[in-house]
Amino acid sequence: MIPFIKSNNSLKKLKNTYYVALLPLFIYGLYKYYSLLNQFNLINFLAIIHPLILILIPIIISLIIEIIYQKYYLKQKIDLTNSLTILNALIVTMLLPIKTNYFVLSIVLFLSLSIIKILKLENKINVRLILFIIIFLALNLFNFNNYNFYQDNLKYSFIDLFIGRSRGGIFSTSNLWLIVSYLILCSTPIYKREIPFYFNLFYLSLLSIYTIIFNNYDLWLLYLNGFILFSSIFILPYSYTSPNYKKEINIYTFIIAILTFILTLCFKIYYAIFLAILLTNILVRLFKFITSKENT
Amino acid sequence: MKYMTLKDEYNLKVSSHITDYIAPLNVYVPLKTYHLKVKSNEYVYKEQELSPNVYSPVSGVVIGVEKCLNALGREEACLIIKNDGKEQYQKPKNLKSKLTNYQKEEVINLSSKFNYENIIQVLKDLQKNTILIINAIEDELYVANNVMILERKTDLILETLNALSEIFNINNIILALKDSDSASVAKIFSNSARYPQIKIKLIPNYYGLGDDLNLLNYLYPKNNNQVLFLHLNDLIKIYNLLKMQKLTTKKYLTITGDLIAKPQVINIKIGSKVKEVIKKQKIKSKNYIVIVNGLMQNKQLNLENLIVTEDLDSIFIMSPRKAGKEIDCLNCGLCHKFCPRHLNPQQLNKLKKVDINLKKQCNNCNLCTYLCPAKINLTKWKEG
Repeated sequence: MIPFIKSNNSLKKLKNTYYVALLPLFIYGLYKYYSLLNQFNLINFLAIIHPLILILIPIIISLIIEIIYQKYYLKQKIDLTNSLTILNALIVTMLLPIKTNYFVLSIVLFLSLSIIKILKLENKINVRLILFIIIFLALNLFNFNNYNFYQDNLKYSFIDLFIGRSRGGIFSTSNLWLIVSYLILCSTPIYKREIPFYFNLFYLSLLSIYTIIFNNYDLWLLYLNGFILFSSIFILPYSYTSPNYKKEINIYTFIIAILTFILTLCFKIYYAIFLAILLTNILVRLFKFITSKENT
Repeated sequence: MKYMTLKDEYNLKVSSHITDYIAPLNVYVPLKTYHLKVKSNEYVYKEQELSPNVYSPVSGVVIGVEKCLNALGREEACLIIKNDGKEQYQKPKNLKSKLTNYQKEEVINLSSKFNYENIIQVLKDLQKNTILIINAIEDELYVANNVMILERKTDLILETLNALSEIFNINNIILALKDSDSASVAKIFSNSARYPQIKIKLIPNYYGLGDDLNLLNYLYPKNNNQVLFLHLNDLIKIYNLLKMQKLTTKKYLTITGDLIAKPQVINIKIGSKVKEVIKKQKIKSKNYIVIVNGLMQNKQLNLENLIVTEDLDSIFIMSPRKAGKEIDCLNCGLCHKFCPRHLNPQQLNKLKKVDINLKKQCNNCNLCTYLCPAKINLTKWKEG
């Protein structure tokens, strides 16, 4: 029997909390960009609207896809209440650098989101992760995104990196505002707050041990770029593919933390966390497949 | 284990005044078997045995049998007794001047007289080192029966507990109260100073702690002692037995809802027809639904043949409401995280066949479905 009274929990509420949590990052991103423009006297109309266009692309593309999908494919009334497409696309775009090519981004977003929609993959794969990997590969394929944050980060102080003055994703570099975003997300019980918490706890423990043993702070600089923290807050706890049980969460986040650490250490790449999540998700799928076969 | 408080959606504060509905024209007594000990048109006394372990709550004339609906929504054959309002009963012998003058066996025997199974079981198991918990927590929102009992019958409750403590030689009695019920808490505190063996435990306003096992896990997560539970209604029954050796024939019932002009707790005769009581209430609209025993249970019944039984605690007269649109599971894990019995309803809903023991483990609190952001009925697995 369904209770007559209802809790506040809903997908709409979760989405709204995400938008609110993304807002400080968005505002800080704009502030950082405009202050840099001002510093180098580069202000012109095109430069001003540059980050706004970048953020409008995923919104418009997702809207078009939703309208086409619901109106012509499902032949139903358009209702965006229970759709995560815009949010997913927005989160991924916030990680991209300002130099991202609009055309490549639009095409890749359109094609990948269409496929995800038609194949109904939203609740089967970590859409945010897959979208980022596809966009990243496409941008690199056309040589639009080839600078290395690692080398770049070595130029900044800890405080600068923590506040978010470094180069990186246009809206994802500020650790300070990322912590605020995380606290906002924690206000809704639907958000799996334990996942980012445990991941960062494990990862920072590994970093601390490494720093104590080797007296090397380079990996901290890469962590403070915000890429890892942003991904752990917005991509890692993707509801459909992340675990629920406390034990499972501990193992899942521990494996991802170790893999991220090893990949970062070995290859000095800022996107190590994505590879770690991808590998872990594949491993989890394989494990579940094998155990379900054994049970039957 | 995580606990949560239910969202207070309606403003349904009950009146502090209690109305009596203790003289219905007819009472309807559910029959456990068709083996009747009385005949049609026969005069019966109050407390007279009508069929095995079924007693008359009034004195009057037997006028027939009718099918009625109980709080669980099941139809039952009920004996109709035309109430003469005289409450005539055979006066008991050997009444004692003080509640504490009884012996253990006498109390158990008295409880057996009216077949109070639950009470008999608890009394039989009571030992010196037993912890006796009186669960006075009302789980359902807007239901105020326990609050009213605590406020109106404070002395009765404390006196009965004191008697149980002395007769059964137990020193560990805990009265568990909701800390949000400030008026009743204050009254109990001010009156309990005379009874040092009664410890008062204030419990936060978390949903689910009205259930004995949940309360036990909350109070003693690693408990190894013997713990027994009684409820306020049980104490009233024991008091009536010890004081006058009589059957408890009345109970408190909350009548509330967004369409009820004046939500209140009423003192009603067990066996009355609910419809007759509702007729006397001011209902704001004709388009209403009747929900029994709380909005979390959402048991919607037809008022026509519904009778007051011991397990009926509340009647809600509500304006109809559309259920939220069900979407695919978000895998948020809330249903599992907050389940007081550590079940995973989302996984259980996927199974074709569920083990009967798991079904027994669920206490039907409905918290999983209440919390679900995808508006999925997470109790479907229990039906299959």
